[in-house]
Amino acid sequence: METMVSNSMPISVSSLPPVRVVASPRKLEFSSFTPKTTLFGSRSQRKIGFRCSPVRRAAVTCGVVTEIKESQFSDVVLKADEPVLVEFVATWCGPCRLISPAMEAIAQEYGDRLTVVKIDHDANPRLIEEYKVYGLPTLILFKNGQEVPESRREGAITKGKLKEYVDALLESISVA
Amino acid sequence: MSLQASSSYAFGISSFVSPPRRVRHVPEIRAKVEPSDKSVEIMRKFSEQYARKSGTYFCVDKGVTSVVIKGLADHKDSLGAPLCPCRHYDDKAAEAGQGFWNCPCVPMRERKECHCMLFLTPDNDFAGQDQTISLEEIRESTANM
Repeated sequence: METMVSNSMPISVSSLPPVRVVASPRKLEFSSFTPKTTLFGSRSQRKIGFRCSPVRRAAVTCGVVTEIKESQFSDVVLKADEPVLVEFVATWCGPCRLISPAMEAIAQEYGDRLTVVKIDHDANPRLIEEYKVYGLPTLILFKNGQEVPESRREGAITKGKLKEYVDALLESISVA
Repeated sequence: MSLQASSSYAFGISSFVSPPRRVRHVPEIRAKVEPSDKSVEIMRKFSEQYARKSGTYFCVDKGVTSVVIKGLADHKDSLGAPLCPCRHYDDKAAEAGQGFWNCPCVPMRERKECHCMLFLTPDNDFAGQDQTISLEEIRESTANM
C-alpha cells in the first residue's frame, strides 16, 4: 500500500519523482464495453496485480509502458534508435486512465519496433513547456530526436483507433 | 452561472509556499495528494446536478468519473476553484482566476464538450446511463491509485 498523505501541499508533487501505478496489461478492450464492464478491473483484481517499484536512476518499469521524468527524456526518448511514443498524462485525468490499458496493449504488441513511455505533466514542467502540451492525455511520436510532424494527438482514443494511428505513423516514418 | 461550483480567486505562485489550509509538512516519501472529503463531496454533488441539468451522462466506466471528480476536488482545495484536471496550465492560479477552464468550462457550457469525459452526451461511445455516482463508488474505483 503506498503512503497517502492528505492535505499536503500540491507543490510538493512536482518536486517528488513521479510514481504511479501503471496499469498492468489487461485483455479488456474498449470494444468490450458494456455498462457492467470496467476497464480497470475490480478492486480485488487490481490488488493481485503487480506493482511498480522505482528503480534508482532508472525508469520506473512496470509492464511495458515505462514512466520517465525529464532528466531521462534525452536518453530514453531523444537518443533512442527506435521510435518512441510519448504519452503526457496527469494524475486526476479520467481519459488518461481510460487509455492506459490500450497503451499497454500497444506497447506489448509493438514492443520490437516501438517504445512507449509516459510522462506526468505536473512533475515535468520543462518538458511540457518545451513541447507545448496542454490537453491531456497528449500523444507525441518521436524519431531521431525529433517530434514526428503531425503525430500529436489529444484526448481519449479507443484501442482500435490507437492502432490505426500508430500503424500510419510507423509507415510514414519508414517511408520518410 | 448558478452551478459554478465555487467562487474562484487567484493568487500568485509565490503563495504556494504558504497555502491557506495545507500546512502539513510533507516528508521525503512519495505521496499521492488526496483531495479533502469535503471537496470530493461538493464536486460529486455538483457533477450529479450538472449532468441532470445539461442532459449528459457519466462515463460507462465510473472510474473515469471518479478520477475527474477527485481532480476537481483537488484543484478546489489547492486553488479555490475546480479547474479542469485534464489540461496543463502554465500558471494554474491565474487560470483558476480567469475561469475559462473552471468546471463547467466554457466549451462544456457552450457546446457540451467535456474533454475530461465527466459529462458525456448520450451519443458518445463512452456514455453510460447514470447521472448519479455515490461516494462509495468514487472510493472504490480510486482506492488503489
